[in-house]
Amino acid sequence: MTNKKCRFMTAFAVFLSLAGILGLTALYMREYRRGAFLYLSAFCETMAEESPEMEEAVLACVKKYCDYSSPRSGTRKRTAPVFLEQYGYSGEEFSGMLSGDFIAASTIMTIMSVLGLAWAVWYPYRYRRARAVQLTDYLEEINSGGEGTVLPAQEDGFSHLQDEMHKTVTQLYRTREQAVEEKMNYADNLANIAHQLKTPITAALLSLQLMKEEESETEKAEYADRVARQLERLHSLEEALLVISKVDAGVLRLERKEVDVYTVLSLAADNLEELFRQQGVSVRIPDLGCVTFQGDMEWTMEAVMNLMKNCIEHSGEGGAVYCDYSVNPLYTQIRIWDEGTGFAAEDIPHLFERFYRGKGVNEKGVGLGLPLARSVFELQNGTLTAHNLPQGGACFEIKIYRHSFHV
Amino acid sequence: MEILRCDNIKKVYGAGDSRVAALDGINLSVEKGEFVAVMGASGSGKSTLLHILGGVDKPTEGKVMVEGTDIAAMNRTQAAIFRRRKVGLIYQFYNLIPTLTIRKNILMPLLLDKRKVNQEYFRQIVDSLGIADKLEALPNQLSGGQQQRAAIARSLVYRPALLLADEPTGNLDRRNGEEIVDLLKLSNRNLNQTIILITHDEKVALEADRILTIEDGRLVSDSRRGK
Repeated sequence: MTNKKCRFMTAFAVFLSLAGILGLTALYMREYRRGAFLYLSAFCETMAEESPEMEEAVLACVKKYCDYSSPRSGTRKRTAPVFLEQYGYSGEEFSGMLSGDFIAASTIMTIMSVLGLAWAVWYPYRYRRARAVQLTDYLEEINSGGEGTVLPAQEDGFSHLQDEMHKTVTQLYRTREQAVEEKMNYADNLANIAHQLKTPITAALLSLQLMKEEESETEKAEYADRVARQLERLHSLEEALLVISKVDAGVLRLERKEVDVYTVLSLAADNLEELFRQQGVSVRIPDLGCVTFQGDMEWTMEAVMNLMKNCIEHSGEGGAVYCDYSVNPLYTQIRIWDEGTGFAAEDIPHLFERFYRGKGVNEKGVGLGLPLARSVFELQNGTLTAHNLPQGGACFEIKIYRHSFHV
Repeated sequence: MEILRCDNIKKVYGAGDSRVAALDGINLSVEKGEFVAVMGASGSGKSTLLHILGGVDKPTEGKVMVEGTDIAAMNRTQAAIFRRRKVGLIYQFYNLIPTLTIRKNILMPLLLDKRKVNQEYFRQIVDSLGIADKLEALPNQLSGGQQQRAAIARSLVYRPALLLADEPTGNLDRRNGEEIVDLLKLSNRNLNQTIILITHDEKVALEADRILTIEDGRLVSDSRRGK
């Protein structure tokens, strides 16, 4: 509410209560007059009963009194002294109170009610002000970099606001911590990228130098091959980096369409057919009926290929890569596993860290395939985890949720 | 950011010869967004610890700071408000109110606090937990897994600082138990919800980022994943 509106509403409320008081006074005046009339009537009745001969005179007096005090007569001013006062009676004797006392008592009561009203308006106002100041100071301290003093829990109209403020501040701290962490990661990533670039470039330069000095054509061709391999490696690194940068920038747009799991797995296996053949590894994809999820076919396939490549690396000649999938009311689950030696225990927590390269991983990998796969599933409301199977062998487990909490 | 700190908490039952120390000097610090599992045999004091963290019970000695407020020093009214706003509790036997619909059960913490419901967030929770079509049912019309999911929804609806789960999978079969743990992990990851889970099931505990082991009222180990 704006300040102007607030003031208007207060004035309106005061006006309303004043109008109420005046109305009540008028009503009581009316009631008082009725009472006076009843008294007069009773007095006249007694008089008439006591001395019936006076009835006429009394009624004439009443008529005269009515004409005299009627509002229609214009003037109700009484200039003469009160009749009964001439005989020593006074109004004070009838009311049982001196007129000075009456004035004092009514003054005290008026002051009391005015003060009471003012207190009722002012006290909550002062309390709300103090609370507002307290909350403002709290936010101010946080904004000026203070370590967030905690406010005592208080139950009043502000406690929900305080609760939500606290949640917001907590979230803010969390975001700050995340930003710092990401900055550190960024520096690490840059160092890693530089390192990943350095190795093939150095190798290629070395090969080129050797090629220049070499006389024989066959040797030269051999060096050219080496240079080509290093360039290919650079090329795949660059592609992976581009995708990663898109994921980080939040510009990788994934479709949300019905995707059939069997189709995705088969397509991924088809794309890797040559690699499977080279390594002498087979792939088993069972047809378990129609299991689908909402997601992006192309990117899911890419991610699954990365997982399958990892499984191929872990399987020896003659090994096999297995797949399995199921659906429940919460998520669609896909598992891909091999029968190799499994992950080294110390690698498992870091498998999905960028540029992390575990023990016994082939030279070609740069440690971006698995993190990329995880990002792809996370963008589709999913999770990707890895563990070793009890019978040996590495297993990737994908869960794609139908709905997921978002902040 | 530290969300929970326990300073040397002790809980003693009885006096003299029948004196039993259920908790014997627990020191603990939990960061926002951590998923902590507390393991221990029955009688080790893990449930006592959870009750103290949830403000249900008070320690005999020591401080329990949740978001910087000492909950051990609270009176009963304050503790009730604290539980409602700052803590989500999940029990082994769900503890849903049998005469209220699932919707009302979930919204109970907000209704008690006379707060308006954020419909969008409510929708998101019930969708994620797969109980959107069960909202008008009574708890006994649902399976155990579904009831536990409703209990998770109830615990999340206030966006509490701490989510405490006491053997949440203890009454469920393997499949439903795994689902519950998956959902807890999801809320930990996506909502950055701090979770303390009590279990004696090692498989469940291994899903957490950090595992604490309690023996005879003392913390005997504190291991983090990958360290």
